[in-house]
Amino acid sequence: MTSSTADGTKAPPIKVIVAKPGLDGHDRGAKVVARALRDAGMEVVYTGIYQTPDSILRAVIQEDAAVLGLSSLSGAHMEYAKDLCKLLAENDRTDVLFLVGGTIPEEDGEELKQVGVTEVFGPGTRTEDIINFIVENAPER
Amino acid sequence: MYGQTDIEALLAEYREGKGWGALARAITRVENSPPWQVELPTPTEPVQVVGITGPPGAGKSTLTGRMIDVYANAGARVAVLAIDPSSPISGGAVLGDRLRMETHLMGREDVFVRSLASRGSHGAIAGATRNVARLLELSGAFDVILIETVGAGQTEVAIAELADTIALVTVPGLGDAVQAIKAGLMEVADMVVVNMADRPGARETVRHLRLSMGREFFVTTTIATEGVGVPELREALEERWDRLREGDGLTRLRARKRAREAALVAEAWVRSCADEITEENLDLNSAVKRILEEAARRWTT
Ligand SMILES: Nc1nc2c(ncn2[C@@H]2O[C@H](COP(=O)(O)OP(=O)(O)OP(=O)(O)O)[C@@H](O)[C@H]2O)c(=O)[nH]1
Ligand SMILES: [Mg+2]
Repeated sequence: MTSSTADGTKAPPIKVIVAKPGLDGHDRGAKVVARALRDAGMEVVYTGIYQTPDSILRAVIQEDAAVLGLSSLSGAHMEYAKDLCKLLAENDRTDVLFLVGGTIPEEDGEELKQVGVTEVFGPGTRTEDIINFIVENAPER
Repeated sequence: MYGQTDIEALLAEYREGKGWGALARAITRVENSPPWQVELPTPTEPVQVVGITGPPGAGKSTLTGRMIDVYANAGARVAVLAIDPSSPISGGAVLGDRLRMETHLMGREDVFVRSLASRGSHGAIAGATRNVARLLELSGAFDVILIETVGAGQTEVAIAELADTIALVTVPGLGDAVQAIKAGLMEVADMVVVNMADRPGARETVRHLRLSMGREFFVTTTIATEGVGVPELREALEERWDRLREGDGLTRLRARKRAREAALVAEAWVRSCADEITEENLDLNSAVKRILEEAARRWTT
């Protein structure tokens, strides 16, 4: 990252959790995103498939992540996203940038944002768009 | 960058029962500060810091996951620091160790796992990692601290060698053992674990290691994927810790490690100082003089 802090030292890399909730075991997309974020200078914890809201929350807290990216292809994103928004709020982590990506139908996008998801990246999103969004919006740690 | 008081306030917040969040945030502060800017008190109640190192893919994370089980089942509270390499090109990293430990965290609220990237110079990351371990020790929340590092080069050896106990994980077949010797890992290891003992050649490798390291040296085998041999490994670690805690063994060991840490941190500081004066384009001796003057200014108060 080229951004700098006030005293001129380089800003530390942005920490991101990439998680894949639920029962669908296809994580190719999630891995592609994880590598793209790494190549943009971020530190990405990939937690793997079959994650539950509790295990994702634990990773966000213990890793002190600034960004949580949920990859969902199963159509169950709404429920997971709602649970996680609730858990993040209960644990004083509302500043975490919460992104959902994958095969999200357009009409679900608005609802996801209403329940507290920061941004939704549907089919056809370019990784540059995700990177730019994170760089511009990630909270400082 | 961050005040000392920040870190102490977060630690106090954690102690007041505010959960992992405050401790995790304190780790971030320590991780993001050059080690010479962090001053933590010496822990009064020492906790064994175990470095688990070895060639890439030897099964370190899988083994660490199993160690979480074995320690937790024995009533111990476990902290894990898992370090993966940063990309030298982008500075970013994919930290994949946590993935292998996830299943062992389920329903275990007193286990704490943190992934770190091996940013920057080896002195700086070794110092920062030791400081993070010190912070975990100071929190009073853990009975053992496991640090997983890739044992591939100088940086990783530097991180591992500051632990109280260094367990070198290798696999059957002499190739990886030779790699470990080359990386200087054999000299710093306190014990060797031949993992993947379900593969052919495990016994041969153990025999070879015993021959080269001496009969006294602890060599054990594990099958991390099945948890075989892991209770025995924990026993060996506990025995070593008990032995260290008798008399002044631990005091002397830690003094030695701290001297090594000081050398690594000082080296990292000198490097950063050298980077800062490159603009001045001095000749060699003037540059050395300049660095030492800078050092005197920085370190005499
Ligand atoms: N057959 C066999 N496979 C194992 C054993 N232990 C680990 N593995 C497998 O080896 C692979 C690498 O395991 P990890 O635990 O990720 O190895 P690591 O040393 O942490 O790897 P890095 O962190 O990338 O250096 C995984 O596919 C494991 O399932 C074992 O005892 N036997
Ligand atoms: Mg690993």
